[in-house]
Amino acid sequence: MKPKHIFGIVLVVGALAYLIFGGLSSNLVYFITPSEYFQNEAKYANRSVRLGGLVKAGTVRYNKDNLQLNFVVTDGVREVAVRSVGTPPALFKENQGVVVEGKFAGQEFQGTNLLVKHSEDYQAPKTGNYTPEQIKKIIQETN
Amino acid sequence: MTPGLLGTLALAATLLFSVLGLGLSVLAALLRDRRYLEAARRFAPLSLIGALAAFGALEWALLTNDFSVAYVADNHSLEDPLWVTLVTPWAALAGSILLWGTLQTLYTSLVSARAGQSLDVWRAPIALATLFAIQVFFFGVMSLVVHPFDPVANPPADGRGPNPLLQNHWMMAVHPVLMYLGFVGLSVPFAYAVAAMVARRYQSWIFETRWWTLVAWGFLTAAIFAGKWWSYEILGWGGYWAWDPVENASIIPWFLATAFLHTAQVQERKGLFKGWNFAFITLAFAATVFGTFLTRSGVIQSVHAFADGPVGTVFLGFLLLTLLVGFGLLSKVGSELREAGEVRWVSREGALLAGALFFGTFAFVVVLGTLWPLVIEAVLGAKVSVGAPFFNQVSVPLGVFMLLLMGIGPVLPWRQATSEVVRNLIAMGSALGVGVLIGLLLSLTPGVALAIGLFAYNLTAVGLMVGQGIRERSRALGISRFQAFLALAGQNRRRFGSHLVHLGIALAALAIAFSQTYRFTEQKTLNVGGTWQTHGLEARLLSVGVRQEGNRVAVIAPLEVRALNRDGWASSGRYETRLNFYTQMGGQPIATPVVKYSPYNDYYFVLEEFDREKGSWATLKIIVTPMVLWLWIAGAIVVLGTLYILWPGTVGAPARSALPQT
Repeated sequence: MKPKHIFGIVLVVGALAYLIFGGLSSNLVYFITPSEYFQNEAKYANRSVRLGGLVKAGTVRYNKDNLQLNFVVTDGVREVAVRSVGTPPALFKENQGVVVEGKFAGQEFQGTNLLVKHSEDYQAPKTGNYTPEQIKKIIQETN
Repeated sequence: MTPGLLGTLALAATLLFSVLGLGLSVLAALLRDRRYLEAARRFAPLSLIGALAAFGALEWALLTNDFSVAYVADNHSLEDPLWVTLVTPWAALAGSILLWGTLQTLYTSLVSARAGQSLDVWRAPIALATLFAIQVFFFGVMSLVVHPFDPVANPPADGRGPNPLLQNHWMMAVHPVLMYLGFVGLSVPFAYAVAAMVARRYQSWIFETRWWTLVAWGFLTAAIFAGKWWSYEILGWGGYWAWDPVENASIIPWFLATAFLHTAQVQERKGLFKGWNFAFITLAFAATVFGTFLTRSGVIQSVHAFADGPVGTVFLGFLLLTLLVGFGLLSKVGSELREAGEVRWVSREGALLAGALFFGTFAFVVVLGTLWPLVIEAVLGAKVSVGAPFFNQVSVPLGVFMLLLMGIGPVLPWRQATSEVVRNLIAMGSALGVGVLIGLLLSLTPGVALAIGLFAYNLTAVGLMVGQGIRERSRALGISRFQAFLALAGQNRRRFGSHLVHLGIALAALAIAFSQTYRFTEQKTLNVGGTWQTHGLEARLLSVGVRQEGNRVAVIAPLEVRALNRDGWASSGRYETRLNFYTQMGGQPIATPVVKYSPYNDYYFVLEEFDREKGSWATLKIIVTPMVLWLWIAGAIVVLGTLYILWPGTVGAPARSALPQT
């Protein structure tokens, strides 16, 4: 192989590697529970995360005029107030596992996207209390 | 006889036939005795009959509401409409494996039927042995790991029915079957490749294999476009591709099969790239198994994931075995695959190889992005996900390069570029420049302007090639240009079909660029009677009502829609957006959007919330997306182009060699 070929191959592979690994590291989204957030607030400040937990009963408020949806997500230990605009409120229930994508603004979480689990092996969502382990599992499943 | 008994017996019989077919094929290969081959071939249709009996037994159990079969109890309900019952076999894991296995016996039978004419006595037993071995795997899995016909000790009076999401759209009857036809179809080229490597006949396999690959590729393409449209119609977020692991699982084999189709042409004509072809086809088939492993193992969660279970491990083992066989053979015969010549990059074969390498890279990137969360979890212990932005970011440059190559490749002559080609390239380059310029002058984003340029460039490329052929022929034969066009299109179907496929892909890229860049989303709460004007459209909320529909309750918000045209507002019909509440899902509904399609903009309405007390208001989301309709048209063009190539009469060497090579 001529030197110019080797140079060309190195250039192409280098560009690809930059594209792929640069893209991977800047597009990772962490899954966390409220407790995990409060353990290391600085780490998750100003970056997109997926917050998972249970919708606390009696906390869901929907304002039909400014389309704002407020609710509290809990993992049984800590809880976070979530404010979200543009999420479909009908698709979610109290005492149900949810994952909200968004960013923390101080103590409050600003959600941009609400993820609902669509498994083919569908089980009706359990109601009642979850242990932190079960909540962790819910988050993992609502990917 | 009960359905459960028939099914269990039929599965056992099919497994037995597959084992016998495998044993006889291996004997035929070892002893070089045609009689064993003839005996093995009889087991192909027998296993097809066995598999059809098993599949029929499952349908029988479903249609007769036989809840003593666990699969029926878990996935069927008395309230299911007939069409849902008929498609329930592929609504859950065990039934999908049965469908897969059944289609495998179908392909094996087709290969076996053709084996007499198209495969020589050295390769036929090995190709059949490979296919029978795959059959043994699937029917073995059904006998040992997932049992479609497991009984229930105390049959319930009614089941819970299939997942409501799968009942919500008729595409459930189409998309999965097309997908499996594509996935399973790739087993045939793999079997031919194994046979070629074992029999050490490295050239002849490529002719027949290209045809089989194109069949599988056509199904896969149709399935991918159908799946995009399905998710667009029901998932309610207005998009058609989310880089979900299962979507990735379908696109990876597609990329690899596409790579193979391109390098196979070079081997066919020039005898080059033999090693690449073996590698690409092994990877394409392995990718179908990988996809199943990925989404059925619980390793990666996705919208399509079935429950966890041992089936993932079994598929992982099968995946490793496939790779081991394919690459083990390749490394053994590698030294014999000496290339018959050198490749110049600026030539048809150079462009085809470069294109195939891009497809391979794309497949690799998608695999990497899909598995990356596992790597991070193993290394850092953190739960992460790689979002769609990563895939989009990487797809754009790869896509641009591929669209560039797609235009150049067919224009370049074989071996070495000549001076007349330069003229064509200049014309195409100008089309690219003009397209980008027009896009920028219309103040579109640079990305969309580039997409317009690339579309014009590809259109010009195809136009130049077809135009040149027509001119030469009409001058040579003294016929009109139209007659010359018809004659060329009729005789050189492979060439014209591939032009059509390329045009379809270029159009799809244009539609994707527009629809991904200019999406407008807005939410609003409307009182009954209230109107909403946006993007030349007016929607009036007529009412918010409830309707009982069989096994579901629907909350329906009908909209009276008027569109602005030259003469003012004109009615364009009534659109019902709804929330479907299925009893199995408790109180959680499925949003069911409604789309008003048009060549410019699609208007996508989603009912998000409603007044539960008086039905006096509803919160709606509207998503306005340009050019989505053209994506479905592009898909249809690609599939039609594939059909045009495959239509009987174009296969066979004599017809091919008689054609002019334009």
